[in-house]
Formats: sequence, structure tokens, C-alpha cells
Amino acid sequence: MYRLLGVVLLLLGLTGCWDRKEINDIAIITAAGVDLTEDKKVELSVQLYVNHAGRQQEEADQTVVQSATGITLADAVESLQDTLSAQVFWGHTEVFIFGRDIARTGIEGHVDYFFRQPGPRGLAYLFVSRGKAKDILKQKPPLERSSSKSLEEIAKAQKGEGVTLKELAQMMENPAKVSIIPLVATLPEQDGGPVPYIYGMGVLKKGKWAGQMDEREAQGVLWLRNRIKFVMITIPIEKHKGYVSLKMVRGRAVLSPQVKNSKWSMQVKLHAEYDVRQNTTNLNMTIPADVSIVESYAAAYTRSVIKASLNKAQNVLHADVFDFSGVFHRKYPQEWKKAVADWERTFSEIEVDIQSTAEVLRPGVSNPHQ
Amino acid sequence: MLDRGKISVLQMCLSMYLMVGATAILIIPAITAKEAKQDMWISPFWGSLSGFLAVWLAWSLYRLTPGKSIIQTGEAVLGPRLGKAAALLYILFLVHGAGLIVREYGEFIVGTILLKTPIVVVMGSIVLTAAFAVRSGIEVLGRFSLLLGPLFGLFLIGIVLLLIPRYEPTHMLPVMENGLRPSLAGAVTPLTWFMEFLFISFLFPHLRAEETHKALRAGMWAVALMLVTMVIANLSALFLFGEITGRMFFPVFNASHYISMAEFLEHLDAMVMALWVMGGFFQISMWYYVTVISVAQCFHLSDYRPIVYSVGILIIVFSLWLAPGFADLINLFTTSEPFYSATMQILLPALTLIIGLIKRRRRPLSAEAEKVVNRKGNG
Amino acid sequence: MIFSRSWKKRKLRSGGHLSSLSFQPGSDERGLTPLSFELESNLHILRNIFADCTDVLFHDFWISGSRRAILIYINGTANQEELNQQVLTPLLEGRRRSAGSPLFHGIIPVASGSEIGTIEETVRHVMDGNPVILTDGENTATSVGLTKWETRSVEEPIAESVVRGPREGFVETVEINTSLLRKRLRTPLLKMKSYKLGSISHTEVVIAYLQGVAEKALVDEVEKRLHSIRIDGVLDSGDLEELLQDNPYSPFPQLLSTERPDIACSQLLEGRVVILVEGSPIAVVAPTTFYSFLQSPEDYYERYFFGTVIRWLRYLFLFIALLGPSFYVAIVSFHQEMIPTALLLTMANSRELVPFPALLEALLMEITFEALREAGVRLPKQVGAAVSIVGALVIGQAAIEAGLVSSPMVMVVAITGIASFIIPHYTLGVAIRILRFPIMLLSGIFGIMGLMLGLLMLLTHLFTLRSFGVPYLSPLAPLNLQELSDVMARVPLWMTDASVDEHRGKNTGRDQEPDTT
Repeated sequence: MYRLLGVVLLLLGLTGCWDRKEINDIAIITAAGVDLTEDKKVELSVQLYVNHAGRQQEEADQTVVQSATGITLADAVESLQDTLSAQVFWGHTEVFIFGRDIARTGIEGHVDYFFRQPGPRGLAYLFVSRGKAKDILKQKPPLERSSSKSLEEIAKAQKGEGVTLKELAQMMENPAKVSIIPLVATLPEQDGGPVPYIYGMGVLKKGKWAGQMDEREAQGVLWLRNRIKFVMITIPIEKHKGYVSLKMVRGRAVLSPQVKNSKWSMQVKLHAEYDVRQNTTNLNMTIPADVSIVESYAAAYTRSVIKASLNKAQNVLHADVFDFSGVFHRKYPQEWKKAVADWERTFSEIEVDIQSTAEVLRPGVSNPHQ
Repeated sequence: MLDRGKISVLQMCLSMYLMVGATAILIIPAITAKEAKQDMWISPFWGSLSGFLAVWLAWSLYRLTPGKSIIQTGEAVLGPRLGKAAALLYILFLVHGAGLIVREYGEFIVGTILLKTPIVVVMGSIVLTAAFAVRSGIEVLGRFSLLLGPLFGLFLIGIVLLLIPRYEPTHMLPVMENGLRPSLAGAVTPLTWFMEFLFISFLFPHLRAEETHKALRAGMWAVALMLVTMVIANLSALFLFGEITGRMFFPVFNASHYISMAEFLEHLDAMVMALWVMGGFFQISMWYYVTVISVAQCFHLSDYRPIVYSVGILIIVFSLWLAPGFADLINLFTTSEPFYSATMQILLPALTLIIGLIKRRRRPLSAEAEKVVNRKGNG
Repeated sequence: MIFSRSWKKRKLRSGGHLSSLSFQPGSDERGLTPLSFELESNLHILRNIFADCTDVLFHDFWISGSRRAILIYINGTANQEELNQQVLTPLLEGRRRSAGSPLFHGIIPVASGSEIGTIEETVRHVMDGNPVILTDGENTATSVGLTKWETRSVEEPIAESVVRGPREGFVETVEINTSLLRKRLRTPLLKMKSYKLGSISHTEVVIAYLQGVAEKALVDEVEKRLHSIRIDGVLDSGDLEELLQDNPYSPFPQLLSTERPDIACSQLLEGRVVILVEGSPIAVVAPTTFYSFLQSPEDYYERYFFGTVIRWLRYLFLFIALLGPSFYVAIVSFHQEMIPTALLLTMANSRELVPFPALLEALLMEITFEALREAGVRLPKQVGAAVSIVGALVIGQAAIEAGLVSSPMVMVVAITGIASFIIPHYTLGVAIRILRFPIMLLSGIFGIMGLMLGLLMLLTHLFTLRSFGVPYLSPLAPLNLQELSDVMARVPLWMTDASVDEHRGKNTGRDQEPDTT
């Protein structure tokens, strides 16, 4: 029995190992961008990690960007592979950026490519860029080793804005076929170098670009999807000559759908808890009466944010960015089934009743004598 | 007796659990999800019914002819010629089934981790490893089950627990929005899988005499355990993926991609694959063993060990031949396999049982059979 | 118990028998040559046998001035002083005694000795170091028990040292070793049976066991196996271990070897058989399980919490020792997704310069490490310390800078090395070290799948392995939950059957003995 094993082992040694990839033979892609070229071809740009061993140790230039074009994304990947000395490796790609132009033509096919392979991670973050994705990739921000790391950290940064590949795929599968995706652009030249940042949220219908929401409206979307996390809001309080900045500790939205006599409505109850970060008004954060004033302002602010968001979604874009479809589906499956075919219309006519409350928990650690 | 090894009831229970379940949670959730959508967690309940039935059938046949597996029972009840024919059918079914399991395992490994390795190498290596275990006998397999069973379960629970931060339980709503149809439609493949519990019949003869009366209960426990595992696996995939669950081919494996704890415990796919190599190894070993024993019993061989390697090659051949590509494999599961399985694993044993009971009514049991059957108030 | 059949199939080295000695087969019913009454004829035969053995001395003297006697002894093995004082002096000056009565009765003040009647026995006794006195006119000879072989004194065991616990180790003389056992287990239930193995070496082999605690079938099996050994020389317990084990092809040791009497005694208390071999300071214990090799006596001498924690540390490092390099090779060559991104980039940096693929690098380093380790054993003490430091630090560093290996690899090899030292018993450590390599090969070819397959094949082998009928992986394999608790944790003594206080004077645990104290 052992002899057989020995023979087999020896034979295996001769055949060579098919899947073996040495670390130096793989091209580690930290971020990828997809753009549209003038002749309607797909341009894939990848940010590759560059190895410095043996050469001069430099802090800069840890990554390099390479591009290739093709008819489909897979085609582009093949062209890219032809130019690379190492094997394309998606295992560590944290960020995918789609250029605005290609978002207009639809990203569904491209997402399919990334999802079908066993390589790319479902937890990677997706963005749509204002201009070309390639340009974002080319940046070298001062704080992180590459723009991809910056973006990854920003997406994760606790505000709830980041959308992962998995989430996007889920949203695209949803009957309403509306997806949201953060928008990224470059802050104009700062001292250390260009810095990418998120400036709003893009809305895709059936994977195609349908419009955008600015920061405030995007916040509303996060609220209604119950994803809002640690945002900071700054509220003007004219009566008391100043601003109060509040950092959210917890935010919760309870959505109660209702269908009565073919009338679709949704009651939204929002509750937020804040800590005070800055107070330039003449209110005293340790006096309960003053605090309730701030609370009511905060609640009103949230209300206005939601309203703006609803307005954009229902009246301008006609896109169910809040996944009301899902909420209704769970509560009123039969009615939903009838309405889903023309969901855009139904959605735009949903009456939303907003109730917003806010609580200021802590005034910080010190309070000026007032 | 070909293999004089003895196993305990616990080992038997765990062996059956792994034999049916190890690769079941690999592919089946996807197939179930396609049909049942958010009711996919209900499907295993329907599916387990065939499991309980299969165990009961196996036990009843065992009581009819104690000490014998279904192959030998077939010969005893149906007579030498019909019995041999039935045995040959079983052998064919078993080799095909073993090939199916091996192929499933191979597709998984080649599709996810070892993309460029030829599938025959992957399958050949695991069949060879299994051959060593099979040659060593049922006792060794029993001991493996004690080790691998709990390990497998723990790993699974670990994965499920680590994913809790990413679950969205709302995905399971609305429950039964389309009535029972979706969950039933999704239950077809689980039903097929659960029927394999029939092969517990090969383990019954190896129980120690004083434990035999617990066998039926242990078998039912194994089915129950598998049911729980499938429900948990399905729920886990559902909570994580929601609408796209049906899209993934290996949802539970993909789920492990999303484990991310403290930015450190990430990218654990290779570990999950290690888990499945373990489970797959055991499952393949059990199927392999049952096939070999069936052949040996059918042809009245005195020792099963010389044929182990040959049967192994046969299994590999079948695994390559039975479906040209992955799509055909899935097609097989959803179309012909249920009927094939039902015939071999439910109809045929049921028929044999009925014939046996009729015969028994005409001739009373022998004294020793009476003893075994009536010992300690069995179920 | 089912004893292994494979043991019987092996061919044993055949050796000669006493008949290879050159003289005529004897005339008594056993085929042995009886001593004659004539001193001269005996002497003639004996001088022939001992021709060219210049260390065998024949001392001529007269008993009480009247009878001629010869004292045969081996120079350097008999206690010369005692010999002169207690044997020769009384005989030379002593009172008259009647012919025919044994010399011991009232003449020689020595506590042990025997009367022997054949040439073969005479030769045997002389060879065993006992001075033999042949008297003219007697057809029996007297063997005096004054053997004094040079031996090492009882010292701290070299290979098995502990922080807390006795520091006595076995020595090369079997009598002293048995006394070390007796010292700790002062009961007549401790049986010691002596055998002579080896047709030329006539090595004394003693098996010790506690009657009533050790299963009779086990003791019988051990004796049976000893009896069927045909070999010319047994020089060390290792020889015996090889000849007694169930499966000679397995890399795993199936008998426990120890230099410590306290370990031997605890094994005896658990019902095992301890075998001592003359000339070897290592005792061999049968049967044994895998888990015994992972135990250290300190687990029991220290408090139980410490014992449990250390035990788990050992299990963890057992895995690292076996699978460490394989895991590294698999991850680095096949599953780079598993490495945290930052680490991956650093690794890529360090691996840039290395020309070898990871598997080859690993094999190279591991083999070098093993060579260093072996060399370290042979080095004379003065050079040893310096070279080990040099070897570890400088060579490792130089190799990295030369671009032959990468620093992560050196780390892995170092940790693996340390892990393998954690295994308390050397024999298992060796097995693990060897098995590392095939698993490394498999994981270098197939990645994690290869690693798992190797592990599974290893487990299959372990599950089939038996030591004297006991499954090697008990209590895990045939599940025995009670004993499993001792594997998982070091169960505190007050939780076992041994008890204190309320039952003072009554040990309800392994006590089989009637109150003889």
C-alpha cells in the first residue's frame, strides 16, 4: 500500500503543479477602474502594486496604473494580461470604480464579470467617478499608500455610505432594479497631493446611470434604508446666533407601509441620538430647556433632509432608491405583486409621513460658563 | 462477514450524517434557492421526510433479515436470481452515485480554488486517499466519523456565527408568499439527497449486539441532524445574499468570503475548502465503501480488499463520464436524478420489504432472527 | 485484545545458540556437560573454552591447606577486595568442613551465590561476572555473587529534564534500575521477571508489571513476543523496541521509551508493562498511545491549571510542527488571497530576490535546519553553544541577504523548529519531523487540498495503528469519554478516584492491594 503511494507521489512530482502561483508571479491589483473610450470600447485600468526590493527604497510610487481596452470587460482583462509580466490577481482588489461615461451605458454586464469569477471579493467597494475612473486611480494621496486604500477607508468610514459589490448585485437583482452607488471625485490640489472624496450618491436604473443625489439627499437615502451611521450635522440656530454641531451616536428609522383602497402610503419614524461637538450659540448645553431647543432643531433638520431626498427620488428621478419595494413586498405581498410591474409610477405616488425625533445625549466633556 | 469491524451507534449516526450531508450543503442551497426563493429554508423539512422513510425502510429490512445488508437481504427475500439482479442494479446505482459525489466535489475544488488543475487529478487524489481508508475497514471509517463529524459541525457553526454581523433576516420575509409551492418545488433535490440514508443498512450489521436496539433511533437522529444543518445553511445563505442566493453555485462557500473580523480574520476561503476536503473525503469514503461491500456481497467474495482499487478506478471513470459539463450536472440533479434515486432507494427497498413480509407470514422467523429482532424492545 | 498479526510475519534475525561454542555436546539429559569430580579434567575443558581470553583469570589455591581449588573470574568485573577478604581468606584459613557440603554453609560470608553442576553453567556464571570456585573432588562448583561491573552513578536524565520533579534517571545496570523502581513502588505486587536475550550477548531483560493492575493477557503477549525473538545481540532497549513493535513500517513509535523511573512507575500504575534492558538507561513501556508521547511528568507535578494550559499549548504546537511549513507553502503558492493585504505586499518585497519557488525554498531551509540539529547533537560541548548561536543567527541572516531564502521563510522554519522541541518524547518528535516533508511536498503541489489529503492519509494510518492491541489513538478513536477528559485537560487529582481526608488511609482508586503495611 505504501509503495503505491510512493509511486503516485513521485509521478505527481513530475507532472508539475498547475495552480501554483509564486507571489512574484502575480500582479496584485489593489483597485480597478472601468471607463468608456471614444470608440465605445471598454477601457480597464488597474492599480498595481509595485515591488521595490532590490531597487531603491522610495516611499512614493508604490503603485502604478496600467490600462487596456477591449470589447467587453473580459476582453479588456485579456488585453491587460498580455501586457503584464505577471498573472492578474483579483484577490486583493478592494475598490472598483466605474467612470460616469460607462455608467451611462450600463454596468450590469461588468458587475457580472466581477461576480462570476472566484477571485474578486464580494466585500470590495464600488464607486462611480465624476470623470474618468482612470484619473482617480492615478492619484497618489499623501496619507495612504495608494488612492485605493484611501477610498477603501473612506467607504468604510462609518457613515454607512459604502456600497459593496455584493450589495450592488443584490440591488440589481431586486425587482425595482434601482441601485445606489457612491460618487467619487478628486479634491483640488492640496498641499500633500490630490485626495479622493465622496461627494454624493449616484442612482442607477437597471444598471444604467439615471441621476445623482447630493450629499444631503444622499443622507436621506441612508436614513430611509436604515443605514445611517455616524454622520455629523451642523444646524444653524438664528434665534440664538450660532450653530450647533452634533455627532450622531445612533440613528434608526422605522418604516411602516400601508396600502388602503389602492392608496399607498408609508409612515416613517426617525429617531436619532447625538452628542454635541460644537456650540457657538448662546444656549447652554447643560440646561435641559436649551437642549430641547437643539433637539427640535435637529429633528427638523432631519425632516428637511428626508423631504429633499424624497423629492429628488419621487419627483425628479422616479427611482425607488429607498427600497420601498422591498418593504411593501414583505408587508403586502399580494398588492405588491400587482403593482411591481409599474413600480416607478406607484413609487412616485407614495405618500410619506415623516415623524422625526432627536435626542441630545451628551454635551461633551466641558461647557463654557454661560 | 467480510469486515469484522464493529462500530458504535454514535459512530454510525455521525457516519451517516457526513455521508449524506457533507457535500449536500455545498450545492443544494443554490438549487433550492432557484425554486423556493425566500422559502428555501422550509424545503429541507419536506426533504427530510424521505430521509426518515429511508431509515425506517432500512431498519425494517434489517429486522426481516438480521445481520444482512440490503444486498444480502435482496438475495434472501427475492431469491437467488432476482436478488442478484437487484444487487447488480444497486451496484450500478452506487457506482454512479459515488461518481456523482466525486464529480460534485471535483467541480467545487476546480471551480473555486484550483482553477487550472485538471479535474481528474483532483478527483483521482481524493479517491486514492479514500481508497486507503476504505481498505482499512469500517472501524477506521467509524473512528474518522467521530473526529470529522464534530469538527465539520463546529466549523460550520463557526462560519455561521462569524457572519452574524452581515445577516439581514428580513430576507426571509414574506414567508410563504406564494404558498407551499415554492418550498415544495425547492424540496425536490433535498428529497433526493435525504433518500441516501437508506445506506445505513450497510452499517447496521456492524453494530455491537448490545447496541443494535438503538439503531433506529440513531438513524433518525442522523436525519434530524442533517435537517438542522441544512436549515441553518440555507438560512445563513439567505440572510447573507437575499435575492442573489440563486445566482451563486456554492452559496455557503461564497458566504465564507464575507467573514471579516477585526480586519484580520479575512479571506478564509482556503480554510473553508480544507473543511470541505475533510467532509468530502469522508463522504466519498463511505460511498466507496458501500459500493465495494455491495460488489463483494453480490459476488460472494471472501475478502473485499483486493477489489478496492479497481472499484476506485471505476468510480473515477463514472465521475468523468456522467456529465459533460457543470450545467449538465445541475440538470441531472433537477431532472433524472430524483426519479432514479426514488426508484432505487425507496421503491425497490419498499417492494423487497413487502415481499419479505408476505413471505414471512407464510414461514415463521428462525429462532436467532427472533432473538435479534426482539432484543430489548426495539423500535 | 487483538494482537497484531503482522508482528508474526516478520523475519527475525537468526542467531546461533550456545552450541556454537566449540566443544562436544554434553552427556546429561539436557545435552549439557556435567562437571567431573576431577579438577583437572574440568580445568582442561574450561581452559580450552577460555583460550585467548586473557581477562579470564584462573587462580590456583588450596582450601584450608588441604584441597586444591581454582577460582575463575574476570579481571575487572569481580569486586577484588570482597573477593580477597570474604572469599579467599575464609577458604584459605578456614575451618575444616566435610567434603560435599556446599561452601556457603558457614564458610563464605557472601549473601548470594549458587551451586552449579555443568560446564555450560560455569561458563555462563563466569561470563555474568560471578567468580566461580571449582574444588577438586567435588562435582559441583560454587558461583559467588560478587559481580561488580563499573557503572555510571544515578544522575539527572539527560534527555528528559524537568523543572519540578525527581532528577533520577536510569543507568546502564539493570539491577540498579530495578531498585529504582522498587524504591517507588514498595509492594510485592510489583513483579519482575527476568530473561536472557541474545545468543551471544546474553543480555538480561527484565519485565516489570503490577499484578492485578496490568491485564494478564498483556503480560502474556509481552512474554510471548520476547520468547520468539532470535537474535545474536541485544545492545540497547531500542533493539528490543524494534523487535517488539506491532507495525515496523510506521514512522510512529509504538512503545514509549523513558529514562525516568518516575515515568516508568506511573506507567506501571496504569497497568502497563515496563521492560528494562541491561546496558541501556532507557526503559521501554508497552502498550502505549499517541497521547502518552505528549505528556510530561511536570503536567502532574505542577498544579492542574498549569498542566492543562501547557497541554493545550503542546497540542497547538504539535500541529504547527507538523503542518507549519506546509501551510506556509500552500498559502504563499496557491492561496494568496488569504494573506492580509499589507503582509502580502511585504512578502512580495522580500520574495522578489529569491530565485526559488516557495516549495523548494521551504525544503532547502528545513533540510538545512534538520542537518544543523543533528550536527548539534554530535558536537562536543565546548563548541556546541557557540555553533548553535552562529548557526541560528548568522547563517540565517546571511542566507537572507544572499538572496537564498526570504525572511518569512526563516521565521516559519524557526517557529516550526521550536514547535518540534515542545514534544516531550524524542521518538514522536522524530516521527513528526520526518512526516513534515511528504506533507510539504503535497501542499506544494496541490495547495491546501494537498495538505488536507496528506493529513487525512496520516490519520488513516494512525487510526489503524495498534500498540500491543491497543488502538493508537485511544481514548479518541474508540471513544472513551472518561479517559478523554484526561487528554483534554489535566484532571486535578482531587477529581479522580484518588481522594483525601474523608477516606484517609483508603485509596479507592487503583488500589488492589490488601493492607500489608
